[in-house]
Amino acid sequence: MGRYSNQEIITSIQNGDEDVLFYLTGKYFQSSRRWLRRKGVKDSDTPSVFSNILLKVFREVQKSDFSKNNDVEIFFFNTLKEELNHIRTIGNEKIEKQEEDALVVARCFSILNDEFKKILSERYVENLSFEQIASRENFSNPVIAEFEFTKAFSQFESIVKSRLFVDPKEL
Amino acid sequence: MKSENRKLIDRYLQNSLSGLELKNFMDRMEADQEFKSQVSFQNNLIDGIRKAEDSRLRELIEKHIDYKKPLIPSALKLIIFFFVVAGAGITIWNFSGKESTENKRRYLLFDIFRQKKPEIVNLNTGSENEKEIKVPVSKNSKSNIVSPSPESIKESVGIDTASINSENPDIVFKKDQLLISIVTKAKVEGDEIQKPINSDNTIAQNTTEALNPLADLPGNESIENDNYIIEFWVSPVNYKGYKFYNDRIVLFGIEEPDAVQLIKRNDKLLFKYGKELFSLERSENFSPFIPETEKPSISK
Repeated sequence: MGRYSNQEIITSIQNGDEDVLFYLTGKYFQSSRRWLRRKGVKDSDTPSVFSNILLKVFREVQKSDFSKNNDVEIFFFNTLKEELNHIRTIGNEKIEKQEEDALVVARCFSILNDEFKKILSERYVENLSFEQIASRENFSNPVIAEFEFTKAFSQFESIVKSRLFVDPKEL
Repeated sequence: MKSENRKLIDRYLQNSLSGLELKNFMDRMEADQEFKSQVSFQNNLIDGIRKAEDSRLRELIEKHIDYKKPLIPSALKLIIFFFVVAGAGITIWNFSGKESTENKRRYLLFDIFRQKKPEIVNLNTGSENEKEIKVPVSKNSKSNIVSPSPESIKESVGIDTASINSENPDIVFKKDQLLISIVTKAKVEGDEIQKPINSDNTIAQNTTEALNPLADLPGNESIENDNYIIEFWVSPVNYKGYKFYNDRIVLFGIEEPDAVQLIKRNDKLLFKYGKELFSLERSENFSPFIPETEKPSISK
């Protein structure tokens, strides 16, 4: 894995390239681990804390309003400090209390095929427009992208409804 | 779910509705419970997608993290580090400091764990000084530490040597130790009277040198060198005595070397230790200290 410049990191993340996550993991994990341990975090907890923080950074950088002039390294360590303060204030409680329904929905999503998962993720996680989805997925036009998206969403909806025992007539 | 409804809800969840559109949407949600549940359901779906994607990425990151649980806990590492540093410090201090002693070295070398071999002490192999010093040990066999059986001690008469063979590991052999060696001058008593003699000697020497320096005429060779090497030794059997040969004086049992002063009186060498005065006779053998009772005669 080659070296990425700051701008390359931002561009890669905004283009949905996940390889850059592994690059950042290799680059920052050991130093973050040492820092977290010095701050009193248990060594065995450092991988999960680190992955949460890196994911947070990834999602923030993914937003279109994230400036390419920002330094990802500084942003990462600032987020790390904030997250540590957050962990200290809430104590040892779980950071996220996932609701039952959300967990079921997440499990249903994992059942979908990769193409559907990708298009739904691009639409709802990365907040891409149909034009952007079309260009990334090599669809000839946004209408086809929207059609594919609707197909994926309908399948996902039906799986979730069947799992949650929701009466289809209700909706 | 109708496609138009889904698009509208999407726009609402992405905060892209505004003005009249948003008002109408809110009014519809309040009025239509079915529509409200649709909004809630779609919101759950989107949340679920985000959570599923997040957990997938989190798993990928954690899989990629090169995390190895340390074999030794960090607290234990610190304790080990402390002991290593402390041990190294003590070792260096004992071996290189002024206060390093043979006993400490032996202790730090963990001699107690070594298999004790039968010790053969051959005093013949020692240096000249050692030979001389060992004599009191063998001759004055009042030792309370060294107690080898008579059979194990072979002593050759007339030579200051002894060989001790002992197979008993309980016997500990201790050696005499040199405390300090100093070079000092003997203080001549009645110096002012002897001065003219000395000056006469100097004139005679100068004359000899002036006549023919290359002729190697006999000079004042009878003048003795007043510098003496005094060695202070301590014996494990607390032997007290001395040996005086050439310009070397070996003293045993003197605890305060600073309190010793050499005095020359009538060509006789004495040494003063504290307030006591002892005479020194030249001898290759060890002799006990003989107190000098005679008072110094300044009138001479």
